[in-house]
Amino acid sequence: MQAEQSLLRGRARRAYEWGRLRHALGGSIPTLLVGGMVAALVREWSWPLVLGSILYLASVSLLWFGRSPGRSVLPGVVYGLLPLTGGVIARLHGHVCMGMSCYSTCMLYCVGGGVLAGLLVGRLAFKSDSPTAVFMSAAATALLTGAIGSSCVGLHGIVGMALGIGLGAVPHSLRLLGRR
Amino acid sequence: MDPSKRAQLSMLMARLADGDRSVFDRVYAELWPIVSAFCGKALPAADAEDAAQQALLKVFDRAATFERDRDALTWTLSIAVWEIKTIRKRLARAKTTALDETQLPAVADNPEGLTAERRIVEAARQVLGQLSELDQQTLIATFNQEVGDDIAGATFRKRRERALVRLRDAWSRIYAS
Repeated sequence: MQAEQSLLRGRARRAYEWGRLRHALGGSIPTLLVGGMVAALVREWSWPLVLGSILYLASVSLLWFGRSPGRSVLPGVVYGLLPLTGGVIARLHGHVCMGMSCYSTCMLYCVGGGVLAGLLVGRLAFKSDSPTAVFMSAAATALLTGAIGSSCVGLHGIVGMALGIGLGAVPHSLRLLGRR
Repeated sequence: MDPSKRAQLSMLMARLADGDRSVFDRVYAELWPIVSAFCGKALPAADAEDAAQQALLKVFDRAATFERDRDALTWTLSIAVWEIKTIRKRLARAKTTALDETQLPAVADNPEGLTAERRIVEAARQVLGQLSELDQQTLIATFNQEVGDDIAGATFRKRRERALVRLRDAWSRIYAS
């Protein structure tokens, strides 16, 4: 009887993990769609799809793990849409002309979007009970989401956006340190 | 189950849905007796155990989709009810299949069928006895698929047709009513 119960408990545990994984696989599909949509929009397939797939895998892992990192996936992806949109706009309208001179807007959009995303991620982490886990998870998903858009303007776009997220997270990190 | 325990179960289930694996054993220990007793009331003992196990596995399989504001006990028992219904349907189907099999028993196992068969054979013998010696021999040869060397095929066919007509007439005379 004891052995049977132990066996059933093991099966229940496996069912629980499989159920979580299935849920995570299904729940992460929109991240693949984001990559696909950007690829279709800018007519460049390699980087957006590669980064979209990495984002999907990261999202599946985090959602399967659950708790604070799992809960931070959706906000991270949503915040990452800011630098993503910036990157796509930079790709479609790469410069602004004022009078006789024209300026490239690529870094402006990527870094600006990154700073905004970083501020929001920092705010989310600051409000949560486990700020480090939330920050790491949300920042990673925001960075990957943003990178899908920023990859269209090259590697410097991704680096600029990553710097932006880092900069945006500084104020809340300082507040967190002060709270401790 | 008292309301405080019920609320605690919902809280534990919500934590499990969130990914807190540390509460797994507690949730399992709370749910198994409830689901087992519930299925035990609804099904025969042999099937109740099976239903309870299946229901519990489904509960954990869907634990990730449990919504925090729901009542865990109601949610669990609704899954168990579904499982009980499935097993009841399976049992009903099994009963129907068993009935179909009993409707077609082997003749040797069915005394009534055996008696009816004997009556038919007896009747056939009686009718055959009404026919001439030649008709009887023709019909027996037809039954045994034998044709005498001294009789031509066409002649035998004509004899057989006439014998069969007379057999039918005799059968009708005796058993038509």
